[in-house]
Amino acid sequence: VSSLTLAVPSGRLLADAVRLLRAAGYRGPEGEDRSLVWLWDELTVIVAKPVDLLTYVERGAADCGVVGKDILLEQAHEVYELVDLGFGFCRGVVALPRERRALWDNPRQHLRIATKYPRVAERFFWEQGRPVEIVELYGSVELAPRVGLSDGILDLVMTGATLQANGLVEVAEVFRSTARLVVNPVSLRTHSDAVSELVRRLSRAREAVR
Amino acid sequence: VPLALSLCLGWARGGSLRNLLAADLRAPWIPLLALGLQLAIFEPTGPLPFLRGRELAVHVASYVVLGAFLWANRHLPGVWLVALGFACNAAAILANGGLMPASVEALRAAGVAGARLGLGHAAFLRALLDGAGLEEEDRRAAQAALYRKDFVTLSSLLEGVSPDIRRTLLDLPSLRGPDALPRARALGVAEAAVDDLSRVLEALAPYGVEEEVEVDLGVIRDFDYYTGVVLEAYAPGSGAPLLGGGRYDQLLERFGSARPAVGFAVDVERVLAACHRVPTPPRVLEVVYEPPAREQALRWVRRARAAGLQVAAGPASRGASRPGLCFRGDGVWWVDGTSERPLGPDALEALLGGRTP
Repeated sequence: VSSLTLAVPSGRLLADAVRLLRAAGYRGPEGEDRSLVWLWDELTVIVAKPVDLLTYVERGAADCGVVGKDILLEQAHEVYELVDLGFGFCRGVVALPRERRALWDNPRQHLRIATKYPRVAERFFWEQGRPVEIVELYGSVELAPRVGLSDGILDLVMTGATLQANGLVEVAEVFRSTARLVVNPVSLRTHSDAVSELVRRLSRAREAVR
Repeated sequence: VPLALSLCLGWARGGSLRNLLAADLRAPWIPLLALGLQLAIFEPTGPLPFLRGRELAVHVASYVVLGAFLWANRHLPGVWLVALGFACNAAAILANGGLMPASVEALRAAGVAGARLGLGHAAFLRALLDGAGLEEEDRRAAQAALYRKDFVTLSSLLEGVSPDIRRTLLDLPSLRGPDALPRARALGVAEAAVDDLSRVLEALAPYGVEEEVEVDLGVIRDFDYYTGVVLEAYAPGSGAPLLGGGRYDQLLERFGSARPAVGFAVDVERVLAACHRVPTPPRVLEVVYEPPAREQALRWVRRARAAGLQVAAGPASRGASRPGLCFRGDGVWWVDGTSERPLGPDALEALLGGRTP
């Protein structure tokens, strides 16, 4: 029996991803595991940084992966996106400092936007026909407008608490994101039985969790 | 195809072949010499007698003189481009032991084990999308999602579409193998594309590649470029397709000469990587014996090794793990898994010649 390698993202999606795998009947040792490779009964689970995860799957180091739609929108990779796993809901929004939110009302206003999603931002502003300069950052994006690095941000929000704490207000929604199951195109063909089984079990478990 | 394309392109830009005469070509006899050398070793009836055993040296020599020719003509515009192509070509051919990996057979010869070629059809996918009867904007979004292989978005766009078409589109990632074509035909859309694929399979039958070539309607390539059959090759151990291509009948028309065309590109680096990762199983013949037949067995093993066979020999109590010979008091047996059959003296002699019974 060929066993699949599944990449799961470290960070906010990890706990839910593991919960869904267990709900789908995949078994592995319980408890804290600091190793980045887990040998489960039917799966080898590897824990990858979310931004790197698609690289593992595209190059075949992992057969399948669990990844947020936000990453799929930002990075262009040759993988099959097969299942909406339903968890990890969040939205990508443009936010401006509360006292300068009126800037958004003028579509010709040139804005500097700090973001971890430069391509998504570029596409969104281009489609809206708004002039923009993108400042690419790797984290703590909310800091940028506070210190004058940018006029606003494009970032993920879950509750909105971080925006509020930094004096920012949402002015536009760019995308909605949940976790997705992605598959390497070659694994889809060389391990088709195991992949279909994974798709079936995860889809059923997702329905049960709902 | 590339030659025709470049001729068309040159013609479309107002060029003329006559200008070639004006070019200051140095040492024009060299390419003829190289061609002669290559013909001498790649003659259909085999290399000329006095070159036998020296094919590699002659092949390399032909490349060396061609390189010299390019160097002598480095003053001509565009020669650097030719040189680049020449270098890639030479590298690919050298790295593959004198073969250009151009088909399933070549992939096999290059040592890529378990490579499979999937055949899809661009017009089939387009007909499915048309058959879904979507509004123009949704139709475009659905095609884009399909191209991105984003089946989650595709699924939401196909809410309310005829169930047959919806299911076929969403099943594309697994729509391959022997059932794929009958399933596609049963849909009743895109019959021309389905016929196309059956004709390709028929044409391929005499080549004996049915193990490696299969219909794979989940092969999705650029919709604006390809018009008919599309193909991709996969091998275990390589995360991405080793080659890809298809039919693009409307491309040359844009260059002023409407004619059909087929082509594919090989990712040589991936082919090499796939070769390295596939272990070639050693061809070892296993021989076991029971005490009464020990001497007979070891005598035969000595002869087999002298004949160049790799043989692992040992007492029968060890049990054979792979197909092999068992020498017993009641004769010699060929054992393969749980089945065994007796071997006569002739079959034993044939084995020495490297033939398996």
